[in-house]
Amino acid sequence: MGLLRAGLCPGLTQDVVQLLRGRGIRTVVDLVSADLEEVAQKCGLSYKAGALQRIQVVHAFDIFQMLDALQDLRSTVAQQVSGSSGTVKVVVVDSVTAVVSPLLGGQQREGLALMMQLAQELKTLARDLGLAVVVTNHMTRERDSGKLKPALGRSWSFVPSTRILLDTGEGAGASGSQRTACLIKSPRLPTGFQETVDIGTWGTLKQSPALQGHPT
Amino acid sequence: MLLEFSARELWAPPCVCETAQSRIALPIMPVTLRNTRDCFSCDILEFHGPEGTGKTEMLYHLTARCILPKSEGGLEVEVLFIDTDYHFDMLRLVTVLEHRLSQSCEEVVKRCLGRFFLVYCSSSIQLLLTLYSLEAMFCGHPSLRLLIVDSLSAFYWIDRVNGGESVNLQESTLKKCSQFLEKLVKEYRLVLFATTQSIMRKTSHLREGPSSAFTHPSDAGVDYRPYLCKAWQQVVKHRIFFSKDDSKTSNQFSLVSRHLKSNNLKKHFFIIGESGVEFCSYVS
Repeated sequence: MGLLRAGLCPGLTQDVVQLLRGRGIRTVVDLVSADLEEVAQKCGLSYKAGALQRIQVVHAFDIFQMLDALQDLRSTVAQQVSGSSGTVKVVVVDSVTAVVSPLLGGQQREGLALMMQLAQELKTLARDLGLAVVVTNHMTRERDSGKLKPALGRSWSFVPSTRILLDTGEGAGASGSQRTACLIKSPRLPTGFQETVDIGTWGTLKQSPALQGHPT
Repeated sequence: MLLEFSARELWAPPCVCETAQSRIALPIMPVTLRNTRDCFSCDILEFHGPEGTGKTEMLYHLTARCILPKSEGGLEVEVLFIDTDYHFDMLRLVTVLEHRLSQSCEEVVKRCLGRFFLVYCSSSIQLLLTLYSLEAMFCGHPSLRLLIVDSLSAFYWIDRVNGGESVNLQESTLKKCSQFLEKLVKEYRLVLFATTQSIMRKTSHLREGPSSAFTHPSDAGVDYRPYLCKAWQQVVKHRIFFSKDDSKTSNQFSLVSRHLKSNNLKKHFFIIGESGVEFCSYVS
């Protein structure tokens, strides 16, 4: 989990991983929090480390930490303070289920209100500040029918403007690194379009034959 | 927002625009509303449905229909769109317009968009204050005939928590909004389309609801449970339920329109293409 290994990002070969390990840098968090100038000099790394430095990782394990982090980000971006890595363009929340699902359930309205407040924060970042906001959510089963559906219920389902369902590839010939991505909600494109991706090589495979007639 | 209007326009009698008014709803909802005689000047319609059932697309369809020039099959009236959940997608509206125009040049699209006004609100108090301040706009724009609120239920949970334990307090802002919307619609002869999201399940064992049961036998086939304040339930004249056929082979949507006083039901089917909503068949 977060351990540096060859192939994690372009240019991170086994040699580089060994070099970093020799300097005591084992995980992604170590690398990002290290003094990269020093590391780059000692290991002979070039721009690749710079790329990793542009990823800012923030830990938020409950809804209040998450809201604080988003509000901090909003004031930072609004004041146009740019760090050494430039301005923020993408916000990834992995996962929103982890902070919101403990709040839901029972007769509590406060949990739902906090969830909608989080939704508003994320939408403000997207709309007013022009950032791309990507969140991950889990799947649960419906109580009566057992069908799979996205978690966090109906109120959350109205929040994202685009939804992509990721699934493990099934069927003959599907290897362990294949995943399918299906567009299930979009403000501009027809839904149902599916693509198979190989997460080992990060290339796309053939389009799903059943949907080849669909416009993209 | 700088509003300019002359005193003459301010006191223009509402009946001047009645012919434009009564023409709006009829072409938009072809068969649905044709049988009722009260012609939809001063009308409030609610779009209700779960996520992904085409409510916002239908609003783009109505907007395009209103702002397009008469030569292209539009009504050349102005539209005010109040967006409460940051859902509005300008690129999508422009795509719909471009597909519906016979010659889609930038000039024509710009002129259409000149008849379109967009307002964002991020809380129910802000919505109420915005409505108060927009009254001057309705006075100054006699061709502003369509008001859209997408969606009215966006602040539901936040309002319920802010109101504490008192249900009246929880609902008070939305109640004032509903009453003021009714006043605006009556005074300026508008048509209001408001969307509400299906955030409540129909089963009775769920969380307590502030409003009393307004269930109706004809709601049985529709996943609807009233949860917004009574004041809103009372001002709505038509409720239109949206749903989507879940089977993978079909991309058809359906809407069921219910006129609340006469209890008339109509069902329509539509698909969503590049140019927006296309009705497929009429069931009378």
